[in-house]
Amino acid sequence: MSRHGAAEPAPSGRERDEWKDVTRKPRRVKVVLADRAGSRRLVRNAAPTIEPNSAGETLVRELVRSQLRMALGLAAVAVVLLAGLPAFFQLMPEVANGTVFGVRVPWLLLGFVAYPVLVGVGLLHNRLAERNERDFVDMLDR
Amino acid sequence: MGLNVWALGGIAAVAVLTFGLGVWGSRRARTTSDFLVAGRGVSARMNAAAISGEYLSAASFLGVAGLVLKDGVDALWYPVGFTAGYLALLLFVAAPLRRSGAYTLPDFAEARLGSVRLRRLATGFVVVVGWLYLVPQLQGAGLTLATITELKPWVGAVLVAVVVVLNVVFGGMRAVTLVQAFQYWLKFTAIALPAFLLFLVFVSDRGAGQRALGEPLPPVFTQQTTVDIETDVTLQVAEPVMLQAKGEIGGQPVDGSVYWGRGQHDVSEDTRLTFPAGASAPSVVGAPADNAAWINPLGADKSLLHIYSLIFATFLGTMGLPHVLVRFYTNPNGSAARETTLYVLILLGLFYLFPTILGALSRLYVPQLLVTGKTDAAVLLLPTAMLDNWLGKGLAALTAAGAFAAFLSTSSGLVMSVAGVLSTDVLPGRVRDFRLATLIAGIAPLAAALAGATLDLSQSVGLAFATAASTFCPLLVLGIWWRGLTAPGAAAGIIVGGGLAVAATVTTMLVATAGGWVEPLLAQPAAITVPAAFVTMFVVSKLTRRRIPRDVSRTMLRMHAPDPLGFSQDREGQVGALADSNLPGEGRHRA
Repeated sequence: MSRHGAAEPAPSGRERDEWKDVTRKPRRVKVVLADRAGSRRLVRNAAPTIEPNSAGETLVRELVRSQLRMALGLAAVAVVLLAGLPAFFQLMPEVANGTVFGVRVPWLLLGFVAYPVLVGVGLLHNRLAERNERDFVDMLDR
Repeated sequence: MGLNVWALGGIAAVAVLTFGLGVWGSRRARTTSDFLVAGRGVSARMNAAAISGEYLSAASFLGVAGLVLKDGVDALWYPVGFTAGYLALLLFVAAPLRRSGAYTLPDFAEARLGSVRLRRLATGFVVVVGWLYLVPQLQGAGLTLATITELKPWVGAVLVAVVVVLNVVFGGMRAVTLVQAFQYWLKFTAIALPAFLLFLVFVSDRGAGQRALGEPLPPVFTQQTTVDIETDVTLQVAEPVMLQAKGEIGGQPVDGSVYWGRGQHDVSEDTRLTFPAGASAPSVVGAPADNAAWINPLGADKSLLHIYSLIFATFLGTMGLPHVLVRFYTNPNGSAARETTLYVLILLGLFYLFPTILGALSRLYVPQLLVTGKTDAAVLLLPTAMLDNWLGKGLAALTAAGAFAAFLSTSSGLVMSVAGVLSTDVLPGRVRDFRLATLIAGIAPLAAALAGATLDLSQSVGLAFATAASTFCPLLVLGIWWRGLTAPGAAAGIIVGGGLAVAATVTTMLVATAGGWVEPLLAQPAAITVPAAFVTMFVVSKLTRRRIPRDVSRTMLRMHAPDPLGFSQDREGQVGALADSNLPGEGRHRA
């Protein structure tokens, strides 16, 4: 499958020469990462649709925007949950002094509960991100 | 204390096992296809264990429990932040970065913005962040060996630096995924098993003159305890105490019984204090003096600003650590990078449950550390303080071995990363240069570790996080999500954010205290420097709009297009100038 741009030389304006001297050495063993065909499903005819400055690119922009919105939203949830705690402890001292199973509430929240919450937000992100991407691929495939 | 043969045995076992696994692993990965298998055939779980293994440093293994002992519940923000950093990495960086195919941070900078000068700047900051992170590792090594062998602290720092440099130079400790994954489970066992057993001991032997941790009283010595003061300290006394002292207190020589009323007392170095059983333990100034202040949030001298600044630094700094990013390259694609990061969150959360328990127990059983201020040794001393038998010694050997594993793996990863960018971007990049670079990468932080002031482990690591958060975080986040970023903008942001963070770090290390509202910001500058870096990058990029790279659409497509579309390309796989220009030297040394 022809990948656009893959064979294009870098723009001539860039100073890459110095670099070549640095890295082009006889000793280097080139690791060719080619045998990954089985590991992923290539969607037919997708690449040509997404040429730069095409309708396809608008779709990609859309995808990036929705992924960013989702990531920012989840980050906001995590930050509010965590960064809200110090203020919460200060405003509600009776909660901060309470105990559950003989352990002080702040210790329980920060020492234990915080971690499953972080994992949960991460899990949610992965689900949503993968779904966004699947929708995108389905749309192109249609 | 004294010479602990058990602990030394544990440390030796870790060193031999790690070295052996490394040699065995790298022998297996000789040919190109082995190299491939090692790099790509790794499952997400194994990869996550390797990332966690390299990430959990002395600051996590020793520092967290030490801070809990001293500062109480406020210290729990450190492990939460260390973990939350991976959430930020997952949300904003993991998958797109993997798809970009970049191998190191300088590599990403050049691939995205096409500027060699920006690449050099990024290289410079990789070295700075790596060294900032290495200094506390070496200091922690010195502390550990000094605690169990009575050697001077510098001996341990030098020893670990030498072991790490030799390991990296001779390839014994290649960052083979297997070795790092092993390191995670070793550290996990070394913290979880003692925490579990010692907790059982604590539950079964209540009473014995102990004080509940919630009372407004300082912790007490459970038995007669002799404390040697090795550096000048100011102690705060919350409950009047009678003690024997020999040396110099408040500028006056003393030898005999001393009565301390409430208030602050200066003790000079080389003073020996002997507290009777049941006496209240004084603590170094700045720490909460009594247990009630310790158990409640914001009980210590910590301001809300300091805590928020710390959350900021750890949340955003993790993605910019030089030894973290390289590991993501061994994921086969973007989705796998996401899965791996999720497992990392789980593994870190699992690990951090235990230092908290050990820290809280230390308050009951080793309060003498509050007098010397060397709270980082808590994890090492707690087992023998609680169990005066073979089990206690065995557990102490286990924690010592775990601590040694912690700075061995993290230091090796850091030295390797720093040496990698030094040898490709600064030196001509031959194998000989990699060895020279390794030497430089190891010796410079060693000098700083010996000369610089000793902060608490977690605190000085926090400063490295702050520097990473003020330089590479904006570069990565804006580079991945915003088309408008330009090379001049990125460079300006890195210089402003990184410059401010480094200035604050140097000030903190050289000058002990500044006082007032400035102090929390100097000790933890991220709250100011990270926004400054973001704003500078945004504004300068807007001003230099004409410098937006022409291939930005293609780069964005590669980073964000779902994996099945096949746009993601590994930079070595490409033809033409890109492929030749971007194979970093590390590729030869790391799988």
